[in-house]
Amino acid sequence: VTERLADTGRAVSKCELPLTAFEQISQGAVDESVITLLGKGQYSLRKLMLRALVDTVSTRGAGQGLFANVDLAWSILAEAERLAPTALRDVVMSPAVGVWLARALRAAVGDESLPLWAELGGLHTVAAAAAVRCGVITTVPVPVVHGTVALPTVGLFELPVEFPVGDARVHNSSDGMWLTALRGSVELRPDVPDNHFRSMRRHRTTAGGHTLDVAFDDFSPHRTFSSLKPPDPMAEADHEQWCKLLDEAWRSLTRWHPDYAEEIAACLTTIIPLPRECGVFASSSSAAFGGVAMSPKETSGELAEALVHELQHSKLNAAMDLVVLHRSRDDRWFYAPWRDDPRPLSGLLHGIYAFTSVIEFWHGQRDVLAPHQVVRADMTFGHRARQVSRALDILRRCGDLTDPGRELVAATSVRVAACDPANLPTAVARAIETMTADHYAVWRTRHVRPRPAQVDELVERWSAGEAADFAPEDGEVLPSGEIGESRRSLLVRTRLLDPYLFERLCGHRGPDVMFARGDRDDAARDYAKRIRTGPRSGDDWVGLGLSLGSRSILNAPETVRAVYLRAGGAPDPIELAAWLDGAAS
Amino acid sequence: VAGCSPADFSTELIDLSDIPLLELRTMRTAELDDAIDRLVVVTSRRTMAEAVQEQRP
Repeated sequence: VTERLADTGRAVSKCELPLTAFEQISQGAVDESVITLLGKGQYSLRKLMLRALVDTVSTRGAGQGLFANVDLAWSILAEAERLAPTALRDVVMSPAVGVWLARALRAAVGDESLPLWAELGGLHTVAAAAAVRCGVITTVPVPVVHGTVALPTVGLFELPVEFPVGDARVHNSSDGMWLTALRGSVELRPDVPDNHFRSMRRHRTTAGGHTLDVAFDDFSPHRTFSSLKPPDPMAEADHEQWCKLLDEAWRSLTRWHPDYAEEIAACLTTIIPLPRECGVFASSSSAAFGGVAMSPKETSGELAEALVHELQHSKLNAAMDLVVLHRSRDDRWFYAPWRDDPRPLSGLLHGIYAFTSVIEFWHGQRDVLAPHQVVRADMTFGHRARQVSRALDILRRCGDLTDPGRELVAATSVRVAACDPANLPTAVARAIETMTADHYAVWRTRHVRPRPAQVDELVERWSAGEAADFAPEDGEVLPSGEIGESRRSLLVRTRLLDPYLFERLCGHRGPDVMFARGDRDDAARDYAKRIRTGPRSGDDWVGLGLSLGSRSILNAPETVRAVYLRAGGAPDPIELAAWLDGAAS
Repeated sequence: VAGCSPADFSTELIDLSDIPLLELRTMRTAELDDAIDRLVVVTSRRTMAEAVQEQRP
């Protein structure tokens, strides 16, 4: 799709990742020099994407509307780079620009759900922001999105009109910038206190010799990494709360986790505040190096944990652009213990890497917490350690890792072991064991298809009164779309963390409550009764398996359920489980 | 790194970080063309959602 010109003869090298840098990455927190290296790779990738975008647009030719003149935008960017290269890089590397660029390139290479003419407007918006930041005297047409013009790293113009406006002009001169629309009938200047412009808010905090300087992006249309969002400017009180918690989190991180603080200071550029009700704790994107989106946090500890966790994704994403860690197909699915849906191998690598940082965070944090906070910290620490250990086993067995991928997995295993996750109070360890077994088994009932030949054979043996010959198999993973934590696990966790709330939740009888209270025999009878009337419920089968301690159900509930459904004559679920366990033992 | 003979990883990513944009606009090399072609293939294969890592409460 790209236009070919004569070779200009410029020698271009490849990015390199020194072995020492990769070893640092594998072993967890990295120093500033490694972040600089990863950032250089990401900047290179953004430049490549910009070039690919304008090449593709140039080849496709006219018909792209007001923003088709990509040469104008490019010349402004080039001049901005000549005048102030650091500021230009700051604009191009802002997370929202990375997400826009990924979308625009998708539109350019043929994703018809994304209108190219609209995405191309983003190039002019970036050019306008670059002009303002770098002092290029120019006028740039820009798109108006949701009645606003959002200039990356600069600020937001809100047009004081009630009807749709498609475009505006950003002007920059030696006297400053301003925006015009509707042939000049609307003119907005940042220095006029009419409330139609707000600068991007920043916060700077210093503790323990480390300074964190971040922007709050609450207005860029691409800030949440997916679909376009209208601006959602924080109220002043919310902004103050973010800053207060950030100060506290930063003091804690620099004091108790100085290695992680160093990499956060070097890598984190932007926090994207999400609405409390969005249902997302925190997120990041491979298109948005240095950006973390998160909902408001109740405590500085939560905020610190989220920052440490999400930074690992930024780091690993950037590293994966430089070094190949696996050769698995994206449609080969795996169990990821922290997710309800099946994930590709890259998701497992991200999970073990990010959650190991969380394990290390809580390993250090547990020693400095008030007594009432310790159980929750133990729970988070132990649960994540158990999940990561299971995922590490899966990764070791998968056969799709490259040598560097195996190195990352090996180094992560050492890090988890160093945190001594076996050293937990008994009640916490038991709850974690139950929750992890519950999650795995429920996941299998939703996403694993039993092997028909194995089911047939087991049914024949059952019907003939023979002993079972049953060894649980991995099975074929088919993502079903079903997600959600089991009520049983929720109760088990609540009983440990909030006994008062647990008692209130136990107002309704049922096997889940019996199980969470420890009445396993009663729970097993109730689950079995429910299975007889509704045998397809995977959740009830798993509850029965947990109550009985049935290895066959907990390791392959989908197969046990299939045998029950095929056996005929309504076998007793408890007897069937015992028969299969006899074979599995 | 066990099994990795070179001291450093030479990556597939072309290094454009120090090439001025003015020059990059018209630059032509076989490496750049290959890099763009690979980028286009990867871009057309991946969805925006696949790029996101998300933690839910």
